[in-house]
Amino acid sequence: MKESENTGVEYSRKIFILLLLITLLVLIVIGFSFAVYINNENSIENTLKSDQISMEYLESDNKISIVNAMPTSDEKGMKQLGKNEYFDFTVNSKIVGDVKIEYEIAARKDKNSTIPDDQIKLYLEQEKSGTYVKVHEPKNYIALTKDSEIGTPAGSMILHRVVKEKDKSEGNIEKHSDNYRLRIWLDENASISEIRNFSVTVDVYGKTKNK
Amino acid sequence: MNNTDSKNILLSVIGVAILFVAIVGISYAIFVYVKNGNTANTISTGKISMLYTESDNTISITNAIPTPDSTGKIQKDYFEFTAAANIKGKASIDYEIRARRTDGEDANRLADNVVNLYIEKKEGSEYKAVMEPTTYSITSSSTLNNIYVNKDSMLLYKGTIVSNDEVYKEEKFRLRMWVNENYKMDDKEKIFKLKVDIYSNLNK
Repeated sequence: MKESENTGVEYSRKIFILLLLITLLVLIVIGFSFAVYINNENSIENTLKSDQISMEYLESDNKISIVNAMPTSDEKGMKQLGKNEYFDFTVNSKIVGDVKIEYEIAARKDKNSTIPDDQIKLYLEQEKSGTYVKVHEPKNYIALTKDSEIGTPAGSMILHRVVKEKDKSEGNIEKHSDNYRLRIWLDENASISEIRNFSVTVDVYGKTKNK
Repeated sequence: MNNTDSKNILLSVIGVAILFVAIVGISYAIFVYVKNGNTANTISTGKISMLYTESDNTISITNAIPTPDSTGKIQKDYFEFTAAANIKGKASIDYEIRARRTDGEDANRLADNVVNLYIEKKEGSEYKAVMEPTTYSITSSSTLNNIYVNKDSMLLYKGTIVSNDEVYKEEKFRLRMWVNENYKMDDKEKIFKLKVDIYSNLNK
């Protein structure tokens, strides 16, 4: 009987140790994930780094600030280059190893905007070999009806979606610096019988996946 | 029993290890980045309003007789109207003043080429001719491309109003019309009715 009691105690002890190990492992994994892999809007730093990947969104000093805007053709709007008529920003990324980064550039409309979405045009360009080329044709503000897979929330508009993959010929580390230029103008069919306004802020959402 | 228990514990530890690797693997795969910008890019509209007002006086000529232009240009019966633009912002507006007959298919309708029209515009304190006496005729074309213009009408005058920042501009006009001196009257009563329309278009 003594032997069976010893066996029972031994069994219980092993189960207890096992449960303790499992709990410890779960805590380590959760803590590790939250500490390293998620950077949210409340964070002060706009750079997220790990041994594998990093992303960074930088805004320039110039911004769009147009007053007394008149309905404008797309042909003119796409060429706006005066002071306060365009907004430049940069998205940097670093890829190490066999991963890819997918990011979305989103426009977030201020809730106090009074110009209807279909009376505003947005136009994005990207710098290629020193020249800005169009990413897409001028578009009205089209809000998402649900959150995107990358994380752009409903209500915002996706301006551009990008996938960054490491070119194997470049070695184990690859850095990308994407420069963009945003323009907005009043659609040529907009009504101007009263004074109204529109405001957007650019956000960037990114996600990586193993290949 | 000990061997079985040991095996079970070993399998459990292996299972947990596999679970750990799977979780870590997934964690490495799901990297999320969110950055909300700080720069507000804004645009606010200007404002354009056009106003067309007619005076109380109208042209109402009965028992009209063929009249030479020199007399018609100074007749006391005339129709006065004003075109005004209130613009806030940088804009250029083209406009056309047109006359449109409104006597339909009336059997007693005077032919178009029997009536002369004459337009003056106020410059300073005086009215000056902007269209010399011209027989009524349809002007089927228009320079205003972005709006509907009733082209079953006669173009009397076209102009442009320009604002570099903010402007209020009024333009006053006088319209006179008479039966031209070449008309051969008969014993039947004839009529000629028209209205004035203004069309404007923002240059984009």
